[in-house]
Amino acid sequence: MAMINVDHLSFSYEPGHLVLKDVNFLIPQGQFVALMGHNGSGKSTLAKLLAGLLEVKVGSVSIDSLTLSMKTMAEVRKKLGIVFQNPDNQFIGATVADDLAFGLENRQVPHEQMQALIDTYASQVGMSSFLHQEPSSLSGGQKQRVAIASVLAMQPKVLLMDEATAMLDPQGKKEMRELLIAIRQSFPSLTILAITHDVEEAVLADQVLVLKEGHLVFQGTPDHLFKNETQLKSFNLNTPFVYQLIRHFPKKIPDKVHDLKAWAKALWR
Amino acid sequence: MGESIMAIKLEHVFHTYAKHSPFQFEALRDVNLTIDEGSFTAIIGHTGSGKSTLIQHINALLLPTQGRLEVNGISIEANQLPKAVKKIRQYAGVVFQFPEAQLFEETVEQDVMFGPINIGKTKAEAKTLAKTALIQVGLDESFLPRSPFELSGGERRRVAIAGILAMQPQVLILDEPTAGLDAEGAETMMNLFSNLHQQGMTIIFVTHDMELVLKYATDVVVMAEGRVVIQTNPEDLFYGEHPQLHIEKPPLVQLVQACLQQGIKLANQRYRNLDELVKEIKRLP
Repeated sequence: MAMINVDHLSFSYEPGHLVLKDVNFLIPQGQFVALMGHNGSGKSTLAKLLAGLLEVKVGSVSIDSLTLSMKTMAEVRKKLGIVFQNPDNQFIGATVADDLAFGLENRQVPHEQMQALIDTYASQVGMSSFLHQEPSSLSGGQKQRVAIASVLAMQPKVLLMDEATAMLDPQGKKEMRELLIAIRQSFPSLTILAITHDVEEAVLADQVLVLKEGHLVFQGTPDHLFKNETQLKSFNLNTPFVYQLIRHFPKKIPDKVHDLKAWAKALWR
Repeated sequence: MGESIMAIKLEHVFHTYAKHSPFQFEALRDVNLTIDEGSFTAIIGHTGSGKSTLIQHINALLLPTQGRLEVNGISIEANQLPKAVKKIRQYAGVVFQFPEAQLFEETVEQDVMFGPINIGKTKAEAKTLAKTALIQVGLDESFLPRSPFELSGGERRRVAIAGILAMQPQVLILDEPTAGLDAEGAETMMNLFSNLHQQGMTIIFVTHDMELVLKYATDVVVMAEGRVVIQTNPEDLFYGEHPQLHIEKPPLVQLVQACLQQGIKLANQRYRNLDELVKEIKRLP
């Protein structure tokens, strides 16, 4: 059963100008999917529709078998955790612990359970030693990690990341990629949909979706996407470093394709 | 290499925002720095490390709250707008982040002419300068009568850069000029600066992209918490041992170092772009 089912979805902000055009895809439970596309491709609109911030009018979206509508919205939102782009716009608490408590309080989690949950999720994202710090003393990457912990503490079925790494510097982006890998190990049944510009993040996904001018123009594995140079160019996407190596040395690809040390060995085999 | 001439010198520069208020923030702390004429200098560092504050000092958009600068022989003293501020701003032009958002005129030509007219050029002179500057950024005459708002994002950014080039600065300062561009767009943009550099212009750019630093820069300045922590060249920064800097090494450097660890004898041990390394690997038996 698919965790996310997008069926014949179209959307326009003004009549006659479709920003999403008959988009169809399924995401099975537990998969990590990267959604890519240039500015104006419709990916933010798609994210807003999935998050219930825009109303689905043509086609349908269902999450965990619940079809999204004004009626089911409250129920669907319980299944969905969202992390947005700007680290400064989603920090609500005065400290990291407060921020983690905010959602739990809204869900009326009893106080005695709350502390344990806060500790668990702070440690999950490597922020245990920052519990009593104020947001101003945190880096962008650390704030995003708190945002992820706050969302995970709600125990959602789907984690939606709307360009959550776009405003981070290379170090922050790298930390987020490492965190994604760790989260997948800890929560194997969590479905993750990450809207991203970072090809190095997309490399880690089970499948990649590419939107172009409102059309879903690609759905497949990162390998399929990044090995096809002409197609990649037409999507305006960058080539991750290891795929540049694959292109130059197609006969020397090591088994561990993402490991540069393995590449160093393979290149001189 | 001939003797290097310094273009810009910062001596014990401090900059404190909102001094004597609860929001007081020390953005630059005792910055000492010399940037040579004709260099292609990258300024890197985490968000909030003082990079943007630093570059705004170079053309006196911000003044040091302590310390002093020397820009092309003109002094900028703490808290004093220098008399020769126009000369400084003509010498060093700053292109801000996402400069395409600053276009405002009806046509590309008018927009690019705005700067030269502002510094006292006649309309006819400004017209010629605008045309030349647009050619420098790779846009032909057909763009002159067009509205900036009907151009693509990349083209608009070029028009904005042309607006600065039309004032004929000797130093071009760019705050994250490739932000938001895809790989090809970033490469085209950097090649444009590389050409200007080869024609003798001093280029200073702020970036988060370590691969661009490795490939293009001749000098690199690393900032952290308002201080310059090191000024060196890209080969030393990425291939040398600087563990205290926590610099994310570009994948090319990681690969070269992994090769060297395997005992593979590479002709050059400090490659700056993948194509050179590929050539070397294909040459070896």
